[in-house]
Amino acid sequence: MPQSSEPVIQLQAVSKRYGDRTILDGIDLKILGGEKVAIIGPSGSGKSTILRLVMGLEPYQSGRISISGRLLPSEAESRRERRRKLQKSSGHDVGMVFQQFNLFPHMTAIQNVMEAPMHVLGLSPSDARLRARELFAKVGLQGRDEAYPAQLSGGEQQRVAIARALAMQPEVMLFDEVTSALDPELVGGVLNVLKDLARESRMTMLIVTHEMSFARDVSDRVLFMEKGRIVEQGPPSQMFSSPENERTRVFLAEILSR
Amino acid sequence: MTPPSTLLHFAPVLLRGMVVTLEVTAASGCIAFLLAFLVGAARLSRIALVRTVAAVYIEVLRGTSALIQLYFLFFILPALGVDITPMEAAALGLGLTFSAYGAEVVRAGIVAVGSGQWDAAHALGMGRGLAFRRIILPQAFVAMLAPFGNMLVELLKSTSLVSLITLTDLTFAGTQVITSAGRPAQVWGAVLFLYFLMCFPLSRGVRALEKRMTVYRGSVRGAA
Amino acid sequence: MIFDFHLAASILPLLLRGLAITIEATLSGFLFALVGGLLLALGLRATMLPVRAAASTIIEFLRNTPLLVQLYFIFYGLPLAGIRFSAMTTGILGMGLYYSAYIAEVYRGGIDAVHRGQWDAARALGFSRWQSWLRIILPQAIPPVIPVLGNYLIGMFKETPLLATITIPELLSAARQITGMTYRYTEPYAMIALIFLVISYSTSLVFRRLERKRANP
Repeated sequence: MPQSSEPVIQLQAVSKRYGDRTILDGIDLKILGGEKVAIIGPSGSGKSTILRLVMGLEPYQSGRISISGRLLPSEAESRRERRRKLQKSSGHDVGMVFQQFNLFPHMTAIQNVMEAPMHVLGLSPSDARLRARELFAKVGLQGRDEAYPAQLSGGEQQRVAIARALAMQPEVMLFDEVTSALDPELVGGVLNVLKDLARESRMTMLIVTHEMSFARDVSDRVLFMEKGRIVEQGPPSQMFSSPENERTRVFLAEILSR
Repeated sequence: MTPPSTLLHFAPVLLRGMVVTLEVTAASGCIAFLLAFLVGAARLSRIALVRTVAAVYIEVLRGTSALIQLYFLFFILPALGVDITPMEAAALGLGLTFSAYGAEVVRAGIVAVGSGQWDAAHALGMGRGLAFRRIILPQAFVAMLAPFGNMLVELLKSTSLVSLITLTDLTFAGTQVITSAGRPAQVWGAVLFLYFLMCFPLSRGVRALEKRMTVYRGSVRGAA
Repeated sequence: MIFDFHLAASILPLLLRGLAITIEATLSGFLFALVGGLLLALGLRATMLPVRAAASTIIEFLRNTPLLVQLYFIFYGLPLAGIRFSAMTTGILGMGLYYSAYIAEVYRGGIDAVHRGQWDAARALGFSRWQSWLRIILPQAIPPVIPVLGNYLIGMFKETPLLATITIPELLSAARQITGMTYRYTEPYAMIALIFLVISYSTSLVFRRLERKRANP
């Protein structure tokens, strides 16, 4: 349930181009603190790009993005301030879990989770290890501390990735199709972790996903995107049973009939 | 056929040459390795000027012959008033040449790590420097080991060129023995064998390393 | 003075004559290496173990010993066994053999990259081993590795100065001749360095353009 009425993430008329291709076309979006928002849509619709912009992984050309009241500079603004690579959006307020896990292969599972708290937040190794162990218990990974990513299943690796992001205690968590690269039988486990997270924590969560029943269970609001625009948004009860927009209906019919 | 005693008579000369060969390899190898990292990292710099200078460095040193570079240092520097011993010319010449190849190895190794790792580090609040030091470089380094191993073998073979700038390496020792005792077929055969003795274990080691690398990388990608 | 341009201009014809020999040696040696490398690569995949062992031993030996000493062995050593080649033949033979060992590995990479299924399909259609090689496998294996072969062509070109040590009058010899006559080192060596740079750089550009064309047809 949403916490306050002050938007934690705000996008105003945001556009992003890559060469002469428009990826995002005038996005207006307000996300309140504590909201759980699911983003659905066909591939190429720009869903992942919105997450990457909020995370500061890519520049945007026009509009305005602010996270917790702090402005994220556009490409032109960063160049003017001579900062080619964007700073992390706002300290450590935003975390992200990736489709391809992106675990650090040269470190054990627990080292992956301890790394950033130690070297970015300055935690002592014992404190970092404590935090990591608690998170491992939370995501259901007890006993796998010393394994290397190569020795873990896809589902286990993704849980490590979730624990790693949570270890930084962000206000906002971004999930970019986190089950799309998993074998089918491992998907449910990871989705359960996300469901528990959504239920128990007060974090704001942005979840890009293809898993429709999961999206319906977990979210306060669902966004449907197509071709770089937000076509329709609303509570899951409305979006999934009686969407207003024709294109939303077509997409849902196609994806739910499989 | 040569009576064995004759060849053994000259073994010390050849062995002393081997030692010089190994010395030159070590000296130029260190120079090449250090410069390779500097230039390879420069090749990936965000400042366009630095990138260009590194690229030119690599192209020029790769585009000219190693022997000519050695002659340059050995003959032309003194003409310009710079005093340089044969050993210094050898170490510097081969070091510079192979640093250009090494720089490409460094660059390829870093690039091969993949943007996902940069993304993950950024998503955890790590700055560029921290991410490079703790996440990217350790992974890149592992990928660079085998190519550097191969480069070392090539470097060792290239040291035979220093015999042409009066350094008393193994090849030079060969010419010395032939000057005093003749028998070029046996002597050059022995010299070939001694080089083989030095290079082959290294090559095998690199091959074993490469095999372990493919297993490592395959399992990482397979699990991901 | 540091650089005498007048002298540089006057020695250019001599250098160019040396360059012609260099190019002749490079192209002939490369041709030899292309053929020799293919034979070695096929040998590595022969059905008979002795052939495979021989091929791999030859490759190991050529790759783990210096080209310079191999040239010395052929030019100064073999005559004692009655085998005497001309300087140019020695150069072509020596460089050709040395590089055939590397090029065999290049072919091997290309051959391994051809999908297993192609072999099966060829046999299923009734092609003999030789026909499979010639009509199905090699035509797929070789085009992707042409850029890498290009690198070895350039590499061979840059190693030709070694031929001066076995009395072939190529580019470096020409320069040394000039230093012997004029006692000037800077002009001849700077010029041949420049000639090497220009030729190898432009050749590498050609191969890079070829590679790009393959990737985006």
